[in-house]
Amino acid sequence: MIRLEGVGKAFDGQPVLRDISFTVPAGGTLGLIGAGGAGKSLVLKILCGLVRPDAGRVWLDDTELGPLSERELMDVRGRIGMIFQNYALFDYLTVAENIGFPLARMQRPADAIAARVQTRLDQVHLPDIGPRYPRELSGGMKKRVCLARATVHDPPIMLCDDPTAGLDPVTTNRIFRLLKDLQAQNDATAIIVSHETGYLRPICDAIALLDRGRLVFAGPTAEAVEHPEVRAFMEGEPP
Amino acid sequence: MTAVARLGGAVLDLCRVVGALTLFCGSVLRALIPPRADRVETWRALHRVGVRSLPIVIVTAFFAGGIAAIQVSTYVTKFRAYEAVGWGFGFVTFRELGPLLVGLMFSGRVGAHNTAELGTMKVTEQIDALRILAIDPIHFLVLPRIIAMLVMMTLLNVIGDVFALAGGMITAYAMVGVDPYVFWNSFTEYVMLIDFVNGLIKAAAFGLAIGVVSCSFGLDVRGGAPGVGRAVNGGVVVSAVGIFVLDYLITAVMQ
Amino acid sequence: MAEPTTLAGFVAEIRAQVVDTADVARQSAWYLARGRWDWPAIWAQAHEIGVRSVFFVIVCLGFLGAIINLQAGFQATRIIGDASLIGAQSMPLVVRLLGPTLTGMMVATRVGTGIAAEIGSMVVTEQVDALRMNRAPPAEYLVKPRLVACMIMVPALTTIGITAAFFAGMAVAAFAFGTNPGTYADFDVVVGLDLVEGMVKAAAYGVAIPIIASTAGLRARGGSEGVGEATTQAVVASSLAVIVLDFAISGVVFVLR
Ligand SMILES: Nc1ncnc2c1ncn2[C@@H]1O[C@H](COP(=O)(O)OP(=O)(O)OP(=O)(O)O)[C@@H](O)[C@H]1O
Ligand SMILES: [Mg+2]
Repeated sequence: MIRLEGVGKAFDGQPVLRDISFTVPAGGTLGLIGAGGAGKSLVLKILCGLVRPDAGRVWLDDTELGPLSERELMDVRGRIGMIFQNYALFDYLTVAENIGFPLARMQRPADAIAARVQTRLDQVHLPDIGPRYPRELSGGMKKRVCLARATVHDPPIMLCDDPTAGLDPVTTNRIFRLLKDLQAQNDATAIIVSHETGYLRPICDAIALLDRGRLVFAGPTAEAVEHPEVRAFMEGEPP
Repeated sequence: MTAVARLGGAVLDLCRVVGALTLFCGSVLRALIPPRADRVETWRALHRVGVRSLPIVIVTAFFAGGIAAIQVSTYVTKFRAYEAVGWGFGFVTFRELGPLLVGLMFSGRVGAHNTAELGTMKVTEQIDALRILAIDPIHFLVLPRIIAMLVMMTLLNVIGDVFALAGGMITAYAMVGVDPYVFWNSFTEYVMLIDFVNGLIKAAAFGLAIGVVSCSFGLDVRGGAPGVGRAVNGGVVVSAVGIFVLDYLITAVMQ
Repeated sequence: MAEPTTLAGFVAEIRAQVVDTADVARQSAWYLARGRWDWPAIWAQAHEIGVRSVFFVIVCLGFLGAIINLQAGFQATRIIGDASLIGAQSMPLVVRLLGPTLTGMMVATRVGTGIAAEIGSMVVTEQVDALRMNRAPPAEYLVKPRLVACMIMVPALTTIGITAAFFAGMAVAAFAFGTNPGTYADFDVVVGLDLVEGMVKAAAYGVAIPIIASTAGLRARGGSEGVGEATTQAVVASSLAVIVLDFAISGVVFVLR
């Protein structure tokens, strides 16, 4: 379960998020949409404690993040798989080392890590690229490596920030299917930020729309497509 | 990599740096005849360089004066020659420690910033945009900056000397108990104009070197944000070596 | 992080910088006492920081030794007409002050910018966020190996730098003033306390420079401009720290003497 209550955040006196509240039940999938700069990435960073909110409370399952220290947050983050908007792959590590990184930090034995990494590489249809470096990969390949790294430790919570930005339709489709498969495999709760509203609709139980830091709508997908503002956004009408 | 290959690589790197700097100096010199630095840009550069480095130079000089006073006092108390504190202090600070520390600080503050700025302009293709507008980057960007660093480093050295003197007197009084009057008298009696001028010439030479090196490295940047970081790193390293070499040459010639 | 234009902005910026540096220092101390020891990473950093700075330090400190002995020699010939004692006159100053402090400034220049550029690039590409997601706190994973490497390497580089200054000074004394190298090296003026003072300074710089430079890198915001800004901040703040620490340690040793 993921829950936000009255979350607000300002940078240099400029409010960027205001009074955000929503809940994603365990096993559910929320599609988070909104124009560029609306604050979607920031919501995800607040959810994993990378950014601390100025106001409001955040729960992951039964843990409230607010009172935790950075060191205690480390354990909570072990339950999260995060796909960053701009890849955030370690450029000095190979693809295999990147994917195995979360497990290596949990001090799993090397052969177990290698086996698990190969499984994930096969699942994202990139079986041979383990020894290569991120800079040698195309954008779509990098996104799939991110997906593999984010899910290598079977996290019960998945946060995906624009997993298909700038990709061709075939790769987009493939990534959404992979996401769904990996989520089902772990019975995970997920939030997916994306501009591909057409792809989001069938795979999300709920949709939330952010507009310049405010939550316009959060509710079941069936209701969302009826909501005038969500509909307008999805169909690309200027506000 | 074997040691020999590594040594060869280092020598090649050195040749590349020296060669690039020489070529760059050539194009700067050519731009000087007739002198055509952009006047508005030069004023702006002077202003920015001065504002940016004044606080750091004051703090550095003040502490450099304090450090010199303590070190000189160590000798002086041993021989009970309190009236020599001002002299020893002035000699060490004005000739060596002042210009050297201020020069290295200036290189870090202004030189590094300059390399980063020009490097960012290069990787974002702003330099090419200037060329398309038929504006020569040497006249418009480089000469004003070199002039600004030469002038400001010289002026700041004078200001630095004043603050170093203050730092030295305060420290000598507080830690060694040298009366400021005694300090001042020994200072004015023994420290000669030549010590001051020696420091000034060094400062001007350092300013020129930092200007040339930082501009050259900035315009040579290749390869995005990491490239800018590497250029800044290389620029400050070469500037530091240049400062020490120039210091040696000037010291040897000026006697 | 735009450059502050008002005095209040300037003071606030420095204050924020100091607070962040103290925070990184506190966390690194914690991980130094309790965290993991990633020896391969420490070894890699020691190579990057130490081995790749040796040539630079030898060149700079060699010239410094030459300069100091030229100055001392000219003064000595002018005042007492005899330059045979310049080794004894210059070496204590080199050991106590110029050796450690200028090596420190060189490390701040060469290594400080390197650390800030590297960590800064990782921050602006969100790699540091990815580290924090995976039980790799930056203070443990990034700062600690650099800190340990600098704590070992800065005193080592200082020793090498002082040696370079000694031999360059010996050459200048011999060629410019005809001082016999044996006479030059015959000084008993460098006492234990001088060596202690020099090494305490080197150790202090070895702690301060990586922490300050890492903080500058971790504070980077924005793209290539942010990385450039972080690099400048690193070299200025760590050089200044070297000077202030030098002042403080010199003062304490003077009082003890
Ligand atoms: N660390 C920060 N410092 C200052 N401002 C920030 C910071 N992080 C985010 N912001 C601001 O918060 C706002 C929301 O940013 P965010 O990255 O969450 O947008 P987004 O919805 O993810 O946009 P996009 O679809 O383009 O990715 C922006 O105006 C941004 O400038
Ligand atoms: Mg975003």
